[in-house]
Amino acid sequence: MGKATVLVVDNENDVLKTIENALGTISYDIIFSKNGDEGLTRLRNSHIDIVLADQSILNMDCLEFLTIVKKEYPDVVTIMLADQMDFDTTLRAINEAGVYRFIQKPWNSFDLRINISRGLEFKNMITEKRRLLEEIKKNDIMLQKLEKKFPYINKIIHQKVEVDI
Amino acid sequence: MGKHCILVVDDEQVILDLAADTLKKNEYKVITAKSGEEGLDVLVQHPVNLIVSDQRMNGISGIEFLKIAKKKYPNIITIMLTGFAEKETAMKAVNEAGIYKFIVKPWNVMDFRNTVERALELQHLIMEKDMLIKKLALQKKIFQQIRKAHPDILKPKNKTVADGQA
Repeated sequence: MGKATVLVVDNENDVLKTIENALGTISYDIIFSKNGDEGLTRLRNSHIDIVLADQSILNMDCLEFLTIVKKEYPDVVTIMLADQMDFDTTLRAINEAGVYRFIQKPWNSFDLRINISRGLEFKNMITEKRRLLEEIKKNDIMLQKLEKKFPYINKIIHQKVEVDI
Repeated sequence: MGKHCILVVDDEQVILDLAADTLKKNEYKVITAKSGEEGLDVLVQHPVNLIVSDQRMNGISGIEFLKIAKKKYPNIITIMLTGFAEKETAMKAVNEAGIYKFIVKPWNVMDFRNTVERALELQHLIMEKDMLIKKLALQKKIFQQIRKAHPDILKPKNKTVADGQA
């Protein structure tokens, strides 16, 4: 698997350096946007795996931004760097904005790394599941076609077999 | 889907109660155990989706317990509870013992719940993936048998499609 791309959306430029230091640039390409609008432009123009957004971004409410991201790019995993994790915000973020995880500020490198890597793991799992489902569906269609054409193979197709993997 | 079962292991009753309180509202089946040894007994008797275990306990340590549990039941997701002072140990354990995540005490309720939800979601995906891989293997076997019994059926055009599933 190639490098994963993380889009960091934060008002403060120096956060990028801190996040680069925490995640390391070997496994991640990290790009930076200073507000929600810029972040959306980035998403349009680049392949992004994870969006890491600060709760207090400018120009746009963070939850509003993350809701748009989820709606337009459902495969992108979103993580919110939260100043506060009160019940309402958290609930809204999960239910309305589909936020994958919160990281409470001040965060530490380890928390950030593990949350990002779990987010990617989740994303890869979804992609893999989709791929498997497509393959199975393709095979099913083909088997149906074959059975229609050669009815005598139905015993093979509908056998009860156990498979060891 | 039935209720997910979570095993919480800690030698302090207060923590067990707190964890059960945090989780119950989200409607899980919560089983508690007071040591790693007791936890292993529970695992024999109940199908468990997720374990939340303290690190520092009488008897075997949390890491040891989670390692054994993960080895015996690889599909279970494990989360470690830790005091702030033992955070270093916890970080090491994530890779070493295949731990999903750790939660530092005292925990934030929303964070605890979100962590557990995401962990269960992953576990569900892992099981679904296993099932799909099995189904795919079965289809592959069927294609092989068709090819063997009726070599004329899978013409080159079709054959390519079937082989592509390997």
